[in-house]
Amino acid sequence: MPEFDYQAIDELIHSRIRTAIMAVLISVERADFNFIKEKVNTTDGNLSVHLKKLEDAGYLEISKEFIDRKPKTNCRITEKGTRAFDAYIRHLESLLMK
Amino acid sequence: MSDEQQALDELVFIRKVIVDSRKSLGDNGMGYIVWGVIVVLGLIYTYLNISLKWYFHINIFWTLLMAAGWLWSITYFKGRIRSLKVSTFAGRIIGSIWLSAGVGMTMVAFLATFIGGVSGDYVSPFIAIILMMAYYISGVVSGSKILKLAALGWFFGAIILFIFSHQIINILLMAILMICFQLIPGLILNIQYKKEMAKYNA
Repeated sequence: MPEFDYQAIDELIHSRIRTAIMAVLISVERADFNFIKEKVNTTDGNLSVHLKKLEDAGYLEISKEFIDRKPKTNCRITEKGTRAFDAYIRHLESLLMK
Repeated sequence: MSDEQQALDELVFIRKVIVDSRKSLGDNGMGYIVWGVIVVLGLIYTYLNISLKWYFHINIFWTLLMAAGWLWSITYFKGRIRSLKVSTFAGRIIGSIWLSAGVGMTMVAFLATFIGGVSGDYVSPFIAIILMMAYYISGVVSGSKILKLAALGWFFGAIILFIFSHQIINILLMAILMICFQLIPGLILNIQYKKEMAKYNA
């Protein structure tokens, strides 16, 4: 059995792109779709899929609005998402302290 | 790869993303530029009026300038906040500092001129002190060297303005300080922001 305890880790965050999304959103109050896309370096479709997964888990809140007739998608991390990300970081740190 | 190494890589990656996300958020300096122009215009008008003994509706002119400034600020920042790609707690703190500083400065200026609670001679040094505080806090929160330098400029400016508070040159000194520590920092921030945006949109 591997030493790295995948059972205890949050599988939803434990994916490179979703970790990056959570890391972007933990550092700001709110970010729009394009900002996240640029920071995590991915495509529109891929980002949408991962944002939806995080939203379904209650880690993110996604809202849409129109500014100058252009659609704008805003994302923000929720309280639950912050707690989950914090637990994820602590889990990684605990592995280093072994 | 060992589990420890994997965890370490993950933490390094997270830290890099967080640092990168926080870094790319600049102030476009428009608030500093517009208010700098407004106040310099008002000061020049006041100086000409007093030195040439016109005394032509100075208070009304300032009232119109302030009203125009606030109207612009409310409209511009309301739209800008909505259209920003990203908003941060630091940005909200800086916005709150400038809103409170702006209200404070307007109150000092109008109390002095209309009600007479503060001697008109001390309006400029008091405003310089408020600007020094607002620039310093904004500089520390945003990590901007330009804003911190502007705060230093307002610190020395306030001292000079107090020294010359009873002389007409005080008005011109305030205009010079406004250009050096409000307009120029605003223009520098604007150029930096445009460069950042060009990189972002590339």
